[in-house]
Amino acid sequence: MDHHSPLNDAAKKSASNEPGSWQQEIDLPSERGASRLVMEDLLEQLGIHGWSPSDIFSIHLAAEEAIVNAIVHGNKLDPSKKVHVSCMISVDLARIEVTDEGSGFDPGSVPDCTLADRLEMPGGRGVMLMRTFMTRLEYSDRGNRVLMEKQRTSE
Amino acid sequence: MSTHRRINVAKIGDVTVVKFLDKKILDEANIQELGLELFSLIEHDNRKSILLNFTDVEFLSSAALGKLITLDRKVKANKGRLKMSNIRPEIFEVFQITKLNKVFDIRTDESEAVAAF
Repeated sequence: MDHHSPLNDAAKKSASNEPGSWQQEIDLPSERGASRLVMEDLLEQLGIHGWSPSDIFSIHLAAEEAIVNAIVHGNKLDPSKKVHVSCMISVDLARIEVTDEGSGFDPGSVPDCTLADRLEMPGGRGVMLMRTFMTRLEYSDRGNRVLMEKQRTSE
Repeated sequence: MSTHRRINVAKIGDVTVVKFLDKKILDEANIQELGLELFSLIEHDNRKSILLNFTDVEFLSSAALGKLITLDRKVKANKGRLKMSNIRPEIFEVFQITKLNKVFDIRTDESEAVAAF
């Protein structure tokens, strides 16, 4: 891994390990691809905490969509703005909060992409996938912060 | 013949079989490039029967879904046919949630898909 890339210089991490859980706070630069700075650790920790491949897929997808939305739609790729990601992983709960510095949006205004007249529109599926794959999805009033939780699926 | 960096293109009879070189289709720059390579199969090469074989694909984001939808529209506008196969259960669930399984012609495996053209 290249530790001198601008992405790594811009990212600030802090991790702590309470007994039985893993937590990390990180500021990501508003660049395409920046999600990988947190995703590798997140996926590794989900594995360490015994989450199933199916749940890991769901959390991976939701986290990726939330971070890309924050970088592209929230901060509009503005290099002066950061995306703050806060994660907590335990054996039965994954919580991810993503905050951008943009002006926010109304999640209720995203049209239902499964309606017949929108089914073939290329965009607007990220929020729906996040809502379906996670147990809980909440936006702040302004819409620039999203909190996602997933309870471990019982086997 | 154009060079491809995101896909592998082969022919089985009249069917163009496309495989993806990325296991995880999520990097936005790669998705952009993927879109251009897929669209050129129609706009540049005028391929009519296209099969997307998702074997080896472990993950794809909603941005990748957008490219597949645009590809499907371009194929239909060119009076061609698009089918998909070898989709693992987690990704098929993504298609189901977004109801794209009703838009796309999805088959179990490559031989079934090729036979269905």
